[in-house]
Amino acid sequence: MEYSTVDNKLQELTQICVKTKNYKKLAVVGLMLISNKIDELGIKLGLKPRDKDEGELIYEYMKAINVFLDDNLKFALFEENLLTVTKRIEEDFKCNIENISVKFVKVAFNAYYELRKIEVPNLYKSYNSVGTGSENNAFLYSALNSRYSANKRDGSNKTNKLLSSHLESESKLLQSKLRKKYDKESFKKMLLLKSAQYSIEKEQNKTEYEGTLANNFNYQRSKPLLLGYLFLSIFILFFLLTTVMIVQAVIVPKASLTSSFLILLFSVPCLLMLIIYWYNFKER
Amino acid sequence: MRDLKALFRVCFIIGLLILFLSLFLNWYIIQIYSSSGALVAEWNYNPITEWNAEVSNDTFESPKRILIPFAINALFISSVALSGYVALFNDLEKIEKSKKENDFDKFRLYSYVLFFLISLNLYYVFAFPAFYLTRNKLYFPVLRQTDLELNVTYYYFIGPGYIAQLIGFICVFPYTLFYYRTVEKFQKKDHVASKVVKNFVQTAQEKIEFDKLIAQEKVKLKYEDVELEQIKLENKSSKRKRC
Repeated sequence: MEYSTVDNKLQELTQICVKTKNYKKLAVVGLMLISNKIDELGIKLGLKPRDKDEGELIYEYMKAINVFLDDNLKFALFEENLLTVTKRIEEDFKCNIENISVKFVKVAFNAYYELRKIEVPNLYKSYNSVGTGSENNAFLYSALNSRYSANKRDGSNKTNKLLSSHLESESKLLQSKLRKKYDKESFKKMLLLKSAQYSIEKEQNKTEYEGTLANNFNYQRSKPLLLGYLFLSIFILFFLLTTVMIVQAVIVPKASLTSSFLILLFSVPCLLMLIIYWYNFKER
Repeated sequence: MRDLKALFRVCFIIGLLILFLSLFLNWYIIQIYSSSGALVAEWNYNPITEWNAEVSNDTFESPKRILIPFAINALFISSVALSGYVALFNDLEKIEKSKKENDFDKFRLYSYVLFFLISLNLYYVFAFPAFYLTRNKLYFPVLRQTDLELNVTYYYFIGPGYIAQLIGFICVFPYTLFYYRTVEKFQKKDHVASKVVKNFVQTAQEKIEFDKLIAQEKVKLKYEDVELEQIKLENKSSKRKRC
Protein backbone atom coordinates (compact mmCIF):
# COMPACT_ATOMS: atom_id res chain seq x y z
CA MET A 1 0.00 0.00 0.00
CA GLU A 2 1.27 3.46 -0.88
CA TYR A 3 2.27 5.76 1.97
CA SER A 4 -0.29 8.37 0.90
CA THR A 5 -3.08 5.77 1.06
CA VAL A 6 -1.91 4.57 4.46
CA ASP A 7 -1.87 8.17 5.70
CA ASN A 8 -5.40 8.86 4.50
CA LYS A 9 -6.81 5.66 5.92
CA LEU A 10 -4.97 6.14 9.19
CA GLN A 11 -6.30 9.66 9.48
CA GLU A 12 -9.84 8.47 8.90
CA LEU A 13 -9.45 5.65 11.39
CA THR A 14 -7.92 7.96 13.99
CA GLN A 15 -10.78 10.45 13.69
CA ILE A 16 -13.41 7.82 14.16
CA CYS A 17 -11.52 5.96 16.91
CA VAL A 18 -11.10 9.21 18.86
CA LYS A 19 -14.86 9.65 18.68
CA THR A 20 -15.47 6.10 19.90
CA LYS A 21 -12.51 6.35 22.30
CA ASN A 22 -11.21 3.03 20.94
CA TYR A 23 -7.52 3.69 21.48
CA LYS A 24 -6.77 0.00 21.64
CA LYS A 25 -7.60 -0.34 17.97
CA LEU A 26 -5.30 2.56 17.11
CA ALA A 27 -2.54 1.06 19.21
CA VAL A 28 -2.86 -2.28 17.43
CA VAL A 29 -2.77 -0.58 14.03
CA GLY A 30 0.22 1.54 15.07
CA LEU A 31 2.12 -1.51 16.23
CA MET A 32 1.25 -3.38 13.04
CA LEU A 33 2.50 -0.48 10.95
CA ILE A 34 5.79 -0.43 12.86
CA SER A 35 6.09 -4.18 12.51
CA ASN A 36 5.45 -4.04 8.74
CA LYS A 37 7.99 -1.28 8.22
CA ILE A 38 10.65 -3.17 10.14
CA ASP A 39 9.90 -6.36 8.18
CA GLU A 40 10.29 -4.44 4.94
CA LEU A 41 13.62 -2.93 5.99
CA GLY A 42 14.97 -6.28 7.14
CA ILE A 43 13.99 -8.14 3.99
CA LYS A 44 15.32 -5.43 1.72
CA LEU A 45 18.63 -5.67 3.53
CA GLY A 46 18.71 -9.39 2.93
CA LEU A 47 17.91 -10.60 6.44
CA LYS A 48 15.56 -13.48 7.15
CA PRO A 49 11.99 -12.38 7.92
CA ARG A 50 11.06 -11.80 11.56
CA ASP A 51 10.12 -15.04 13.25
CA LYS A 52 6.68 -14.04 14.49
CA ASP A 53 5.66 -17.59 15.33
CA GLU A 54 8.59 -17.89 17.70
CA GLY A 55 7.62 -14.58 19.28
CA GLU A 56 10.57 -12.57 18.00
CA LEU A 57 9.93 -9.00 19.07
CA ILE A 58 10.14 -6.01 16.73
CA TYR A 59 12.80 -4.54 18.96
CA GLU A 60 14.86 -7.74 18.78
CA TYR A 61 14.61 -7.78 15.00
CA MET A 62 15.71 -4.14 14.86
CA LYS A 63 18.69 -5.03 16.99
CA ALA A 64 19.46 -7.93 14.67
CA ILE A 65 19.44 -5.53 11.69
CA ASN A 66 21.81 -3.22 13.55
CA VAL A 67 24.15 -6.08 14.44
CA PHE A 68 24.11 -7.31 10.86
CA LEU A 69 24.98 -3.89 9.50
CA ASP A 70 27.58 -3.28 12.18
CA ASP A 71 29.28 -6.59 11.41
CA ASN A 72 29.33 -5.96 7.70
CA LEU A 73 29.39 -2.25 7.19
CA LYS A 74 30.33 -0.86 10.61
CA PHE A 75 27.33 1.34 11.20
CA ALA A 76 23.90 1.05 12.82
CA LEU A 77 20.67 1.74 11.00
CA PHE A 78 18.49 2.45 14.03
CA GLU A 79 19.51 4.97 16.64
CA GLU A 80 19.53 3.88 20.27
CA ASN A 81 16.68 6.23 21.05
CA LEU A 82 14.41 4.65 18.45
CA LEU A 83 15.28 1.20 19.74
CA THR A 84 14.38 2.17 23.29
CA VAL A 85 11.09 3.73 22.21
CA THR A 86 10.12 0.65 20.20
CA LYS A 87 11.02 -1.62 23.09
CA ARG A 88 8.88 0.48 25.45
CA ILE A 89 5.96 0.46 23.02
CA GLU A 90 6.02 -3.32 22.78
CA GLU A 91 6.33 -3.81 26.52
CA ASP A 92 3.61 -1.27 27.34
CA PHE A 93 1.29 -2.83 24.82
CA LYS A 94 1.72 -6.24 26.41
CA CYS A 95 1.26 -4.98 29.96
CA ASN A 96 -1.56 -2.47 29.44
CA ILE A 97 -3.44 -3.99 26.55
CA GLU A 98 -6.81 -3.20 28.13
CA ASN A 99 -5.94 0.34 29.21
CA ILE A 100 -4.30 1.91 26.19
CA SER A 101 -3.98 5.66 26.53
CA VAL A 102 -3.90 8.40 23.90
CA LYS A 103 -0.31 9.02 24.89
CA PHE A 104 0.64 5.47 23.93
CA VAL A 105 -1.00 5.87 20.52
CA LYS A 106 0.86 9.13 20.00
CA VAL A 107 4.20 7.53 20.85
CA ALA A 108 3.49 4.57 18.57
CA PHE A 109 2.53 6.79 15.63
CA ASN A 110 5.57 8.99 16.19
CA ALA A 111 7.81 5.94 16.16
CA TYR A 112 6.16 4.72 12.97
CA TYR A 113 6.67 8.02 11.18
CA GLU A 114 10.29 8.14 12.42
CA LEU A 115 10.84 4.67 10.98
CA ARG A 116 9.29 5.69 7.71
CA LYS A 117 12.03 8.27 7.28
CA ILE A 118 14.54 5.44 7.10
CA GLU A 119 14.82 4.17 3.58
CA VAL A 120 17.15 1.45 2.49
CA PRO A 121 18.11 1.05 -1.15
CA ASN A 122 16.30 -1.67 -2.97
CA LEU A 123 19.27 -3.89 -3.52
CA TYR A 124 17.40 -5.96 -6.01
CA LYS A 125 16.71 -3.13 -8.37
CA SER A 126 19.42 -2.68 -10.94
CA TYR A 127 20.91 0.16 -12.88
CA ASN A 128 17.83 1.98 -14.08
CA SER A 129 17.21 3.48 -10.69
CA VAL A 130 18.76 6.80 -9.73
CA GLY A 131 22.46 6.70 -10.44
CA THR A 132 25.07 6.91 -7.78
CA GLY A 133 27.86 9.46 -7.65
CA SER A 134 29.49 9.85 -10.99
CA GLU A 135 32.99 9.83 -9.59
CA ASN A 136 32.50 6.53 -7.90
CA ASN A 137 30.83 5.13 -10.95
CA ALA A 138 33.65 6.21 -13.16
CA PHE A 139 36.18 4.88 -10.74
CA LEU A 140 34.45 1.56 -10.35
CA TYR A 141 33.93 1.24 -14.01
CA SER A 142 37.53 1.85 -14.90
CA ALA A 143 38.70 -0.12 -11.93
CA LEU A 144 36.67 -3.16 -12.71
CA ASN A 145 37.47 -3.00 -16.35
CA SER A 146 41.16 -2.71 -15.75
CA ARG A 147 40.84 -5.57 -13.33
CA TYR A 148 39.23 -7.61 -16.00
CA SER A 149 41.86 -6.80 -18.56
CA ALA A 150 44.62 -7.26 -16.02
CA ASN A 151 43.35 -10.70 -15.21
CA LYS A 152 43.07 -11.48 -18.85
CA ARG A 153 46.63 -10.38 -19.48
CA ASP A 154 48.70 -11.84 -16.73
CA GLY A 155 46.47 -12.67 -13.78
CA SER A 156 48.38 -10.25 -11.63
CA ASN A 157 47.07 -9.71 -8.10
CA LYS A 158 48.80 -6.40 -7.63
CA THR A 159 46.12 -4.43 -9.39
CA ASN A 160 43.46 -6.16 -7.36
CA LYS A 161 45.19 -5.35 -4.09
CA LEU A 162 45.54 -1.74 -5.07
CA LEU A 163 41.92 -1.52 -6.07
CA SER A 164 40.79 -3.32 -2.98
CA SER A 165 42.64 -0.90 -0.70
CA HIS A 166 41.24 2.05 -2.62
CA LEU A 167 37.71 0.70 -2.27
CA GLU A 168 38.36 0.01 1.41
CA SER A 169 39.37 3.61 2.07
CA GLU A 170 36.37 4.87 0.11
CA SER A 171 33.98 2.72 2.11
CA LYS A 172 35.61 3.77 5.40
CA LEU A 173 34.88 7.38 4.55
CA LEU A 174 31.28 6.51 3.84
CA GLN A 175 31.07 4.46 7.05
CA SER A 176 32.12 7.42 9.18
CA LYS A 177 29.60 9.59 7.32
CA LEU A 178 26.85 7.06 7.96
CA ARG A 179 27.74 6.74 11.63
CA LYS A 180 27.18 10.46 12.00
CA LYS A 181 23.95 10.53 10.03
CA TYR A 182 22.20 7.87 8.04
CA ASP A 183 21.27 8.64 4.46
CA LYS A 184 20.09 6.32 1.75
CA GLU A 185 22.42 7.46 -1.00
CA SER A 186 25.61 7.00 1.05
CA PHE A 187 24.36 3.61 2.11
CA LYS A 188 23.74 2.65 -1.48
CA LYS A 189 27.21 3.79 -2.51
CA MET A 190 28.80 1.88 0.30
CA LEU A 191 26.98 -1.31 -0.59
CA LEU A 192 28.21 -1.01 -4.12
CA LEU A 193 31.76 -0.44 -2.99
CA LYS A 194 31.55 -3.43 -0.71
CA SER A 195 30.12 -5.53 -3.48
CA ALA A 196 32.91 -4.53 -5.84
CA GLN A 197 35.51 -5.12 -3.17
CA TYR A 198 34.11 -8.54 -2.41
CA SER A 199 34.13 -9.34 -6.08
CA ILE A 200 37.77 -8.37 -6.42
CA GLU A 201 38.89 -10.19 -3.32
CA LYS A 202 36.98 -13.34 -4.05
CA GLU A 203 37.86 -13.26 -7.75
CA GLN A 204 34.23 -13.51 -8.62
CA ASN A 205 33.00 -12.76 -12.04
CA LYS A 206 29.66 -11.35 -11.05
CA THR A 207 29.40 -7.91 -9.54
CA GLU A 208 26.09 -6.41 -8.63
CA TYR A 209 26.32 -2.83 -9.66
CA GLU A 210 23.87 0.01 -9.60
CA GLY A 211 24.05 3.12 -11.69
CA THR A 212 23.69 3.47 -15.39
CA LEU A 213 23.82 0.79 -18.04
CA ALA A 214 26.98 2.22 -19.56
CA ASN A 215 28.66 1.91 -16.16
CA ASN A 216 27.16 -1.41 -15.31
CA PHE A 217 29.89 -3.93 -14.76
CA ASN A 218 27.93 -6.90 -16.05
CA TYR A 219 27.05 -4.95 -19.15
CA GLN A 220 30.67 -4.00 -19.73
CA ARG A 221 31.67 -7.60 -19.20
CA SER A 222 29.14 -8.74 -21.77
CA LYS A 223 30.68 -6.63 -24.53
CA PRO A 224 33.25 -9.24 -25.63
CA LEU A 225 30.26 -11.41 -26.46
CA LEU A 226 29.93 -9.30 -29.59
CA LEU A 227 33.00 -11.05 -30.95
CA GLY A 228 31.34 -14.35 -30.15
CA TYR A 229 28.22 -13.24 -31.99
CA LEU A 230 30.40 -12.43 -34.98
CA PHE A 231 31.63 -16.02 -35.05
CA LEU A 232 28.07 -17.17 -34.53
CA SER A 233 26.88 -15.10 -37.50
CA ILE A 234 29.55 -16.65 -39.74
CA PHE A 235 28.52 -20.08 -38.49
CA ILE A 236 24.86 -19.39 -39.28
CA LEU A 237 25.77 -18.11 -42.70
CA PHE A 238 27.87 -21.13 -43.65
CA PHE A 239 25.27 -23.42 -42.15
CA LEU A 240 22.58 -21.88 -44.35
CA LEU A 241 24.79 -22.04 -47.42
CA THR A 242 25.53 -25.68 -46.70
CA THR A 243 21.80 -26.35 -46.39
CA VAL A 244 21.19 -24.57 -49.69
CA MET A 245 23.82 -26.76 -51.31
CA ILE A 246 22.16 -29.88 -49.92
CA VAL A 247 18.77 -28.71 -51.22
CA GLN A 248 20.34 -28.04 -54.62
CA ALA A 249 22.04 -31.44 -54.68
CA VAL A 250 18.67 -33.09 -54.04
CA ILE A 251 16.61 -31.03 -56.47
CA VAL A 252 19.17 -30.71 -59.27
CA PRO A 253 21.17 -33.96 -59.39
CA LYS A 254 23.12 -32.58 -62.35
CA ALA A 255 24.86 -30.16 -60.01
CA SER A 256 25.39 -32.70 -57.23
CA LEU A 257 29.12 -33.04 -57.85
CA THR A 258 29.73 -29.32 -57.52
CA SER A 259 27.28 -29.20 -54.63
CA SER A 260 29.09 -31.99 -52.76
CA PHE A 261 32.36 -30.20 -53.11
CA LEU A 262 30.81 -26.96 -51.88
CA ILE A 263 29.05 -28.73 -49.00
CA LEU A 264 32.45 -29.88 -47.82
CA LEU A 265 33.94 -26.46 -48.40
CA PHE A 266 31.24 -24.69 -46.41
CA SER A 267 30.93 -27.19 -43.58
CA VAL A 268 34.57 -26.85 -42.53
CA PRO A 269 34.39 -23.11 -41.64
CA CYS A 270 30.88 -23.74 -40.32
CA LEU A 271 32.15 -26.26 -37.79
CA LEU A 272 35.22 -24.18 -37.04
CA MET A 273 33.13 -21.14 -36.19
CA LEU A 274 30.83 -23.20 -34.00
CA ILE A 275 33.78 -24.63 -32.08
CA ILE A 276 35.33 -21.18 -31.60
CA TYR A 277 32.03 -19.77 -30.40
CA TRP A 278 31.22 -22.70 -28.18
CA TYR A 279 34.51 -22.85 -26.35
CA ASN A 280 35.27 -19.16 -26.07
CA PHE A 281 32.07 -17.18 -26.01
CA LYS A 282 29.10 -19.30 -25.15
CA GLU A 283 27.25 -17.75 -22.19
CA ARG A 284 27.06 -19.93 -19.16
CA MET B 1 37.34 -3.44 -25.00
CA ARG B 2 35.32 -0.32 -24.28
CA ASP B 3 35.00 0.59 -27.94
CA LEU B 4 34.00 -2.87 -29.04
CA LYS B 5 30.32 -2.07 -28.89
CA ALA B 6 30.84 1.22 -30.73
CA LEU B 7 32.81 -0.65 -33.39
CA PHE B 8 30.04 -3.18 -33.89
CA ARG B 9 27.49 -0.41 -33.94
CA VAL B 10 29.38 1.22 -36.81
CA CYS B 11 29.55 -2.19 -38.48
CA PHE B 12 25.80 -2.48 -38.03
CA ILE B 13 25.18 0.87 -39.70
CA ILE B 14 27.52 -0.04 -42.57
CA GLY B 15 25.70 -3.37 -42.80
CA LEU B 16 22.38 -1.56 -43.13
CA LEU B 17 23.76 0.53 -45.97
CA ILE B 18 25.08 -2.58 -47.68
CA LEU B 19 21.72 -4.32 -47.26
CA PHE B 20 19.88 -1.34 -48.65
CA LEU B 21 22.23 -1.02 -51.63
CA SER B 22 21.99 -4.74 -52.31
CA LEU B 23 18.41 -4.28 -53.46
CA PHE B 24 19.64 -2.17 -56.35
CA LEU B 25 22.44 -4.50 -57.40
CA ASN B 26 22.32 -7.67 -59.46
CA TRP B 27 21.68 -10.81 -57.46
CA TYR B 28 22.18 -13.39 -60.16
CA ILE B 29 23.90 -13.31 -63.50
CA ILE B 30 23.71 -15.63 -66.50
CA GLN B 31 26.24 -15.15 -69.24
CA ILE B 32 26.61 -17.06 -72.47
CA TYR B 33 29.88 -17.02 -74.34
CA SER B 34 30.52 -18.30 -77.81
CA SER B 35 33.44 -20.61 -78.59
CA SER B 36 35.42 -17.59 -79.76
CA GLY B 37 34.98 -16.03 -76.32
CA ALA B 38 32.50 -13.36 -77.29
CA LEU B 39 29.61 -12.56 -74.98
CA VAL B 40 26.49 -13.53 -76.86
CA ALA B 41 23.84 -13.15 -74.16
CA GLU B 42 23.59 -11.84 -70.59
CA TRP B 43 20.74 -11.65 -68.09
CA ASN B 44 20.94 -10.03 -64.71
CA TYR B 45 18.48 -10.55 -61.92
CA ASN B 46 17.51 -7.86 -59.44
CA PRO B 47 14.76 -8.41 -56.83
CA ILE B 48 13.02 -5.15 -57.74
CA THR B 49 13.41 -4.99 -61.51
CA GLU B 50 13.64 -8.78 -62.04
CA TRP B 51 15.45 -10.07 -65.16
CA ASN B 52 17.23 -7.55 -67.32
CA ALA B 53 18.82 -8.57 -70.59
CA GLU B 54 22.14 -6.74 -70.82
CA VAL B 55 23.06 -8.50 -74.07
CA SER B 56 20.08 -10.05 -75.77
CA ASN B 57 20.05 -12.83 -78.28
CA ASP B 58 16.92 -14.45 -79.65
CA THR B 59 18.64 -17.80 -80.08
CA PHE B 60 18.63 -18.33 -76.35
CA GLU B 61 15.56 -18.63 -74.23
CA SER B 62 15.38 -16.02 -71.50
CA PRO B 63 15.30 -17.37 -67.90
CA LYS B 64 12.02 -17.99 -66.11
CA ARG B 65 10.58 -15.30 -63.87
CA ILE B 66 11.69 -15.24 -60.26
CA LEU B 67 9.00 -13.47 -58.37
CA ILE B 68 9.98 -12.33 -54.93
CA PRO B 69 6.81 -10.73 -53.49
CA PHE B 70 6.95 -6.96 -53.58
CA ALA B 71 5.62 -6.84 -50.03
CA ILE B 72 8.76 -8.56 -48.80
CA ASN B 73 10.96 -6.02 -50.55
CA ALA B 74 8.89 -3.18 -49.13
CA LEU B 75 9.06 -4.67 -45.63
CA PHE B 76 12.79 -5.11 -46.01
CA ILE B 77 13.32 -1.47 -46.98
CA SER B 78 11.11 -0.30 -44.10
CA SER B 79 12.90 -2.44 -41.56
CA VAL B 80 16.29 -1.24 -42.82
CA ALA B 81 15.10 2.34 -42.29
CA LEU B 82 13.68 1.54 -38.84
CA SER B 83 16.83 -0.30 -37.81
CA GLY B 84 18.88 2.68 -38.91
CA TYR B 85 16.75 4.88 -36.68
CA VAL B 86 17.24 2.45 -33.77
CA ALA B 87 21.00 2.27 -34.22
CA LEU B 88 21.45 6.00 -34.63
CA PHE B 89 19.03 7.40 -32.07
CA ASN B 90 18.23 4.59 -29.66
CA ASP B 91 21.49 3.08 -28.73
CA LEU B 92 21.41 0.58 -25.88
CA GLU B 93 23.37 2.77 -23.54
CA LYS B 94 20.66 5.39 -23.76
CA ILE B 95 18.66 3.31 -21.32
CA GLU B 96 20.83 4.83 -18.62
CA LYS B 97 19.43 8.32 -19.08
CA SER B 98 15.83 7.46 -18.48
CA LYS B 99 14.69 6.23 -15.16
CA LYS B 100 11.34 4.94 -16.32
CA GLU B 101 10.93 1.18 -16.16
CA ASN B 102 8.69 1.34 -19.23
CA ASP B 103 11.72 2.27 -21.29
CA PHE B 104 12.65 -1.37 -21.35
CA ASP B 105 9.48 -2.14 -23.26
CA LYS B 106 10.42 0.49 -25.81
CA PHE B 107 13.90 -0.92 -26.23
CA ARG B 108 12.55 -4.42 -26.41
CA LEU B 109 10.34 -3.32 -29.26
CA TYR B 110 13.41 -1.92 -31.00
CA SER B 111 15.20 -5.22 -30.56
CA TYR B 112 12.27 -6.94 -32.27
CA VAL B 113 12.57 -4.53 -35.17
CA LEU B 114 16.23 -5.49 -35.54
CA PHE B 115 15.30 -9.14 -35.38
CA PHE B 116 12.68 -8.68 -38.04
CA LEU B 117 15.32 -7.24 -40.33
CA ILE B 118 17.56 -10.23 -39.64
CA SER B 119 14.70 -12.58 -40.46
CA LEU B 120 14.10 -10.92 -43.81
CA ASN B 121 17.82 -10.91 -44.50
CA LEU B 122 17.98 -14.63 -43.75
CA TYR B 123 14.95 -15.19 -45.94
CA TYR B 124 16.80 -13.65 -48.87
CA VAL B 125 20.02 -15.49 -48.07
CA PHE B 126 18.33 -18.86 -47.79
CA ALA B 127 15.11 -18.72 -49.79
CA PHE B 128 16.51 -17.02 -52.87
CA PRO B 129 18.96 -19.78 -53.80
CA ALA B 130 17.11 -22.70 -52.19
CA PHE B 131 13.64 -22.04 -53.57
CA TYR B 132 13.76 -19.46 -56.34
CA LEU B 133 17.02 -20.38 -58.12
CA THR B 134 17.00 -24.14 -57.70
CA ARG B 135 13.38 -24.40 -58.77
CA ASN B 136 14.27 -22.64 -62.03
CA LYS B 137 17.34 -24.81 -62.62
CA LEU B 138 19.69 -21.93 -61.96
CA TYR B 139 22.85 -23.06 -60.26
CA PHE B 140 24.20 -21.72 -57.03
CA PRO B 141 26.68 -20.22 -56.30
CA VAL B 142 28.57 -20.61 -59.54
CA LEU B 143 28.60 -23.04 -62.43
CA ARG B 144 30.20 -23.26 -65.86
CA GLN B 145 28.36 -25.40 -68.37
CA THR B 146 29.32 -26.07 -71.99
CA ASP B 147 26.70 -26.74 -74.62
CA LEU B 148 28.39 -28.74 -77.35
CA GLU B 149 25.41 -28.53 -79.71
CA LEU B 150 25.27 -24.77 -79.76
CA ASN B 151 28.99 -24.49 -79.13
CA VAL B 152 28.53 -22.00 -76.32
CA THR B 153 29.48 -21.85 -72.67
CA TYR B 154 26.99 -20.92 -69.95
CA TYR B 155 28.13 -19.14 -66.82
CA TYR B 156 25.77 -19.06 -63.86
CA PHE B 157 26.85 -17.10 -60.85
CA ILE B 158 25.54 -15.06 -57.95
CA GLY B 159 25.86 -11.32 -58.31
CA PRO B 160 27.15 -8.56 -56.04
CA GLY B 161 23.65 -7.96 -54.65
CA TYR B 162 23.45 -11.43 -53.11
CA ILE B 163 27.03 -11.21 -51.85
CA ALA B 164 26.10 -7.87 -50.28
CA GLN B 165 23.26 -9.67 -48.46
CA LEU B 166 25.77 -12.16 -47.04
CA ILE B 167 28.16 -9.41 -45.93
CA GLY B 168 25.25 -7.39 -44.58
CA PHE B 169 24.17 -10.33 -42.43
CA ILE B 170 27.62 -10.64 -40.87
CA CYS B 171 27.67 -6.90 -40.16
CA VAL B 172 24.17 -6.71 -38.74
CA PHE B 173 23.78 -9.94 -36.79
CA PRO B 174 26.23 -9.42 -33.86
CA TYR B 175 24.86 -6.03 -32.84
CA THR B 176 21.27 -7.22 -33.21
CA LEU B 177 21.81 -10.23 -31.00
CA PHE B 178 23.75 -8.16 -28.48
CA TYR B 179 20.97 -5.56 -28.40
CA TYR B 180 18.30 -8.17 -27.88
CA ARG B 181 20.25 -10.13 -25.28
CA THR B 182 21.12 -7.02 -23.27
CA VAL B 183 17.55 -5.74 -23.16
CA GLU B 184 16.21 -9.17 -22.23
CA LYS B 185 18.88 -9.93 -19.66
CA PHE B 186 18.75 -6.67 -17.75
CA GLN B 187 15.02 -6.24 -17.90
CA LYS B 188 14.39 -9.76 -16.75
CA LYS B 189 16.75 -9.42 -13.85
CA ASP B 190 15.22 -6.16 -12.73
CA HIS B 191 11.63 -7.18 -13.04
CA VAL B 192 11.87 -10.68 -11.64
CA ALA B 193 14.01 -9.71 -8.65
CA SER B 194 11.86 -6.71 -7.74
CA LYS B 195 8.74 -8.79 -8.03
CA VAL B 196 10.16 -11.56 -5.86
CA VAL B 197 11.20 -9.11 -3.14
CA LYS B 198 7.89 -7.29 -3.31
CA ASN B 199 6.00 -10.57 -2.90
CA PHE B 200 8.30 -11.66 -0.12
CA VAL B 201 7.79 -8.40 1.78
CA GLN B 202 4.04 -8.66 1.26
CA THR B 203 3.87 -12.17 2.66
CA ALA B 204 6.00 -11.23 5.66
CA GLN B 205 3.91 -8.18 6.49
CA GLU B 206 0.62 -8.27 8.33
CA LYS B 207 -2.28 -7.05 6.28
CA ILE B 208 -4.08 -4.11 7.84
CA GLU B 209 -7.67 -3.95 6.73
CA PHE B 210 -8.25 -0.26 7.24
CA ASP B 211 -11.64 -0.22 5.56
CA LYS B 212 -12.92 -3.00 7.77
CA LEU B 213 -11.61 -1.31 10.91
CA ILE B 214 -13.12 2.02 9.90
CA ALA B 215 -16.44 0.39 9.07
CA GLN B 216 -16.49 -1.37 12.46
CA GLU B 217 -15.94 1.91 14.25
CA LYS B 218 -18.58 3.65 12.15
CA VAL B 219 -21.14 1.02 13.04
CA LYS B 220 -20.15 1.32 16.66
CA LEU B 221 -20.51 5.09 16.52
CA LYS B 222 -23.89 4.88 14.85
CA TYR B 223 -25.07 2.32 17.39
CA GLU B 224 -23.91 4.53 20.26
CA ASP B 225 -25.75 7.50 18.72
CA VAL B 226 -28.92 5.48 18.46
CA GLU B 227 -28.54 4.34 22.05
CA LEU B 228 -27.95 7.91 23.19
CA GLU B 229 -31.04 9.13 21.35
CA GLN B 230 -33.09 6.37 22.90
CA ILE B 231 -31.85 7.33 26.38
CA LYS B 232 -32.65 10.99 25.67
CA LEU B 233 -36.15 10.09 24.49
CA GLU B 234 -36.70 7.91 27.51
CA ASN B 235 -35.55 10.75 29.83
CA LYS B 236 -37.87 13.23 28.12
CA SER B 237 -40.89 10.94 28.42
CA SER B 238 -40.16 10.26 32.08
CA LYS B 239 -39.91 14.03 32.74
CA ARG B 240 -43.31 14.58 31.04
CA LYS B 241 -44.84 11.87 33.11
CA ARG B 242 -43.53 13.51 36.25
CA CYS B 243 -44.99 16.84 35.17
